[in-house]
Amino acid sequence: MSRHQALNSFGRSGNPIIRSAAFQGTVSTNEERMSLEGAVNKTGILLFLTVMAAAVSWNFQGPLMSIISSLGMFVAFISGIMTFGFYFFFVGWIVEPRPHNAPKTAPIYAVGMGFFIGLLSQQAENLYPGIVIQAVSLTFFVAASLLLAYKTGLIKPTQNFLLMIFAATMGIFLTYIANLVYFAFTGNYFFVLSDTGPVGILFSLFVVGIAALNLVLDFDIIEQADEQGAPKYMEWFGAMALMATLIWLYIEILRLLMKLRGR
Amino acid sequence: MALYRDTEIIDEIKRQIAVSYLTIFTGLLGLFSAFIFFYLLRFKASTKQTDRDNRIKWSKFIPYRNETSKGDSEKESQDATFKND
Repeated sequence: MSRHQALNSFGRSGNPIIRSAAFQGTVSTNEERMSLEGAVNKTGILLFLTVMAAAVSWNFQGPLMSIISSLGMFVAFISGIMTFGFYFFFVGWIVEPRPHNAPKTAPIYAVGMGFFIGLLSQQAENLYPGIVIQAVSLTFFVAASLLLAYKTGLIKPTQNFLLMIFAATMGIFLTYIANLVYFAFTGNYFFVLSDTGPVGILFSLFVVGIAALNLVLDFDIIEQADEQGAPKYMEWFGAMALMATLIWLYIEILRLLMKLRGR
Repeated sequence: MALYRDTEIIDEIKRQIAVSYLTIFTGLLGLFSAFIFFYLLRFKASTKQTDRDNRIKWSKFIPYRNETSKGDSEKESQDATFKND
């Protein structure tokens, strides 16, 4: 048996510590590791980019800006798929998550979604003055409250928690897709989505709750990646996941407030 | 009639003032919350959160560990090449 074959058969080291599962997957010493501080800074950068794009979209209304906003949302969607992948029931991963793309896709996502939410917010503000400040404030209030609950261990994300949130999120996603198809054929929206009565408000509250609980999963991703000494690009991945959920939460809170004010 | 219209206008002004107070209050709440959010995000979670057996294994779903271990195994295979083979 040659030395090479022997190494293949028995492994390089007999040391149980080196061969233990805990040692696998740790980042090599010459690679930069992620930190919580870095993830926070990247979240700040993404938030800044989103707000800047939203400000442009808010101030320069017109058909061109509508096209840019739609394009921005499409580009953000593609960036999201390229980074988070796409999981579908029974099919599994159609596109696997590629977190190493995050440093490139995260800023594109932030700017694209910024254009979209700027236009959306402007339209909401025209209908109900003061609603945007309320929605932004409530979004940060919910995010800060859940972060406090997560950091103190009040909310503990487990495998069952993940399954529950994932199933509910997919359910909401499928409802929105079905609503789009329904709208394309009939020109009407689903009752639960358009209703400003108790049913519509309860549905919106449920969606806001699920979006908020998704934040807990994002906090856990960042925390665990930091603990395990994940590569530097995971800072962008964590920040992008957090931004995606914050934007979703903002849109849902805005929708809920519009329903409440439209009664 | 004119008195009724004046009362209506006063009511509308009162409502607008109440709305602007609400906006200022929620704006301040939002600023404070954003500050707390970015401040807390820098700290590690408590041991109550991190020292548990039933945590979600994110590395199973997000392949950042495979990426690095693939790099390591490539280095290892280069290392294991012998001149005599």
